[in-house]
Amino acid sequence: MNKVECLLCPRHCRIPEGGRGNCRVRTNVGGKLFSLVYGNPCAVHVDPIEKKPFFHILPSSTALSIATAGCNLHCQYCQNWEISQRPPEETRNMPLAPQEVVDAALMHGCRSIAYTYSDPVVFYEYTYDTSCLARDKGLLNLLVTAGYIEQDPLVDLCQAVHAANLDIKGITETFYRAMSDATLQPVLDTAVTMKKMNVWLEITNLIVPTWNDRDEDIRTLCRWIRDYCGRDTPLHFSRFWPMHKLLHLPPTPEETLTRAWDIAKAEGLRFVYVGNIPGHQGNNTFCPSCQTLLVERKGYEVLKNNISNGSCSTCGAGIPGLWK
Amino acid sequence: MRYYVFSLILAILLAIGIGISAAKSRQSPSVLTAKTAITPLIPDGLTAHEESAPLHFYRLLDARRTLQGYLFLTHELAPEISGYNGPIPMAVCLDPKGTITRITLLAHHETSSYAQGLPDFIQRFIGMSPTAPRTLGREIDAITRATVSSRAVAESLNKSLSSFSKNVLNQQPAPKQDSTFYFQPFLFSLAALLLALGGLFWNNRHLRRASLVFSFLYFGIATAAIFCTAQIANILFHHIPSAASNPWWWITLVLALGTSIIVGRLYCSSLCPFAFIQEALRVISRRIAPQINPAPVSPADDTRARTGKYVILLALLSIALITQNTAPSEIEPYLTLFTSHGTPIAWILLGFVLLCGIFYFRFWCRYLCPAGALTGLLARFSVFRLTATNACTSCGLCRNTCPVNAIAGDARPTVESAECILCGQCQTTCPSNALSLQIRTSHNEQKPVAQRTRPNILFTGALLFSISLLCAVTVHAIYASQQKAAPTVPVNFEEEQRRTAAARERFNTLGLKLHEGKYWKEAPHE
Repeated sequence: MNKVECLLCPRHCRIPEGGRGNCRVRTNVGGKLFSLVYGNPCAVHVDPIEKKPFFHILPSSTALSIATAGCNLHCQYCQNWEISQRPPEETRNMPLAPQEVVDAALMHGCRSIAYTYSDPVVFYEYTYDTSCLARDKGLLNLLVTAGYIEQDPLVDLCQAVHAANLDIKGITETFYRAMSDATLQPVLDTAVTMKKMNVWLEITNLIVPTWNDRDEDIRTLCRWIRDYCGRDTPLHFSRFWPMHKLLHLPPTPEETLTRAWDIAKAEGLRFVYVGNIPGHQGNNTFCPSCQTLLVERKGYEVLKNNISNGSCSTCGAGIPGLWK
Repeated sequence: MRYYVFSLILAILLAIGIGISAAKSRQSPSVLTAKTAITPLIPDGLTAHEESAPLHFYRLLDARRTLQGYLFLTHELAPEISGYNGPIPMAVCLDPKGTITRITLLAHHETSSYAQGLPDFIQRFIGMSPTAPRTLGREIDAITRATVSSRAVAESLNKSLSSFSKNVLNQQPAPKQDSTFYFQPFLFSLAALLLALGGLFWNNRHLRRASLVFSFLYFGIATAAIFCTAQIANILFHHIPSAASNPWWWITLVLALGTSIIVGRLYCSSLCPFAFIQEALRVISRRIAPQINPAPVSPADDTRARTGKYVILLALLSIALITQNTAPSEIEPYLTLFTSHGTPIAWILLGFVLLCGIFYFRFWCRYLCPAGALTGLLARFSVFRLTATNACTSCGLCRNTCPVNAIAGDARPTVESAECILCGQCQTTCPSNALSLQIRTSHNEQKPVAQRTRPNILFTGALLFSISLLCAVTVHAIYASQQKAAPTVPVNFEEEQRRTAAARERFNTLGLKLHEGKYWKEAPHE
């Protein structure tokens, strides 16, 4: 019987009959490619939107977050490894058709649907169908992804996606290969394409001690983002917690994150955040013109919001984002 | 001596052909009896569950194992029915009540000229059910000129459906309503035969002409059932249809070969539709342009040229045998004419042959017709023979009058039965009424003396050109027959079906469903 070549992500897995792709959720049956997780998520939660993290979209709102099993990256520090590094038969799934997802979001008062936890790339068809339905119902579609996807499917999907949180995990190919068993360039291409398709982009970078915490790497990353995505692109530095295969490393020290925060601001990025450290100034949004505190956050909670009509209430400068 | 050689070679060819097909059918199952891959024939979403008793058929089941219909193959339930060139196998899907929902045409050997309309024609039978009155006969609008093939289709479907409904559904099928349709071909053919025999024995040219017109209208225009070499090729390949399913196959065979064995080439003079065309054209051309005075073919040319048709006959049969396909033997121009289907070269051949027929009497029949060659070879052994009785005065008028140069001999004229088409001109011309059909008593044939004259350039040119056209048409037919693709089904499809069914089952038990993926392609084989 024929093998099929999956064209969804750069791996181009050649799947034999009955086999699975690298992501564990795409299979070849009878010479045709099938997804095993369509309408069958293993995680459905209502989360604050700041958790994704999205700081410039609908603050204080909630997002219905769904994920299925499987992922096409295999990061050693994966926080969600229990669902992402498992085939779908080993996860507890619940049937939830795309229309039911939209209905659930509306029922719980969510204003957006987030495709997160594992990676929406591997449950592409599910993401696609649900986004189309959600868009028609006025819900925002948020992708939280590692961006390891081919251009054609990305372009098709982005037509229904409003915002994306892209994980640029490192800035060197060696890092990607060693940490995630993937390559860097497709991720950078994804960022550029999303920008071109007018998807609101927020970048996340998880700083792992001894892996990607050197100043030069952070500087290179910030410069790239500034040059190819724009100074207004929010950058979130996340704190690493020992998980999965990196249990021997310490959590990222606060100084490292502060240092990264400074470097990013020095390179010209206007909205830089530090996550996983409550109380840090990096949780808040400041106006790039007059430096006043616009949004004060504690963890995922918004304490104060001084943005009115998408502009600074003090100096009137426009603050990019989807505030309504 | 030549004729004996030709007859011998023909007998050898027949023996080889029949031997091969007999050995083949005994050894290994033919394409038709081998396991047909079922998967592509059933509707989506259903699986086929094979059963062997009381017939070989399949139950079609859906995902919940509920009966959704049946599937059978017509060549397994009604194997004796065949078209012009063998059975026309079809896969038939029924709903649980026995009504036909889908028919798929499998491989067949009908000539492209007959079979182009088959796939569409077959679709008209969808909705046919064993209990509803079957619409056969006049209501079914058969393919133009391809009554034999279309009748085969109708008969196969009919018989297999009624057999299935009787044995599996335990329903008595509604009685057929078109029994009169069966007698029609035999009645008409009998009428034609009687006209021809009357014209022969009473030497009445009106009866002969009436018989020609009748044959043209019925065997030519109405049914396109003309004796041709393909039927001999059928015998070679053992594709002999039953008389009930294909009466015309037997009728034309009996008319042509049966009359040859008994009286001689009666078919050629009185029953061949193409003969009518040729003679009609001559009459018309003489009326329109009487100044055309075709030079008669000199006896020397004629004697040399008349072997052509025997060589053509043997060549066509040999090619059919070698290529194991009847298509190369279906190149006769009268088939092109009456089925209105043919390649451009075939039409050119037809036109050229008819043109030559205006100038040289019965050009095709005397020098090129393989069917005529066969009737001629048989006519040499006929029971009756045209003989000169004792009343003959050796005036030689018959010899000069014979339009096909079949009479020779100075003292007592002898008729070469292989060439004589029983037109009756000699009988009419003879002043002593000495020529008549007599039972063959002796073997005193004289060979016509070939005069050593220079061959007529125009005649030879026309002959060679027609032969080359024939070669071109035959080569094209060979090429096309090798191209004619039966719907190809991968051999091990059922194995794969079984494996993928297992895979789907596995996913079902894991609680996972399959959803068609986007963005993939077939991987090239390494």
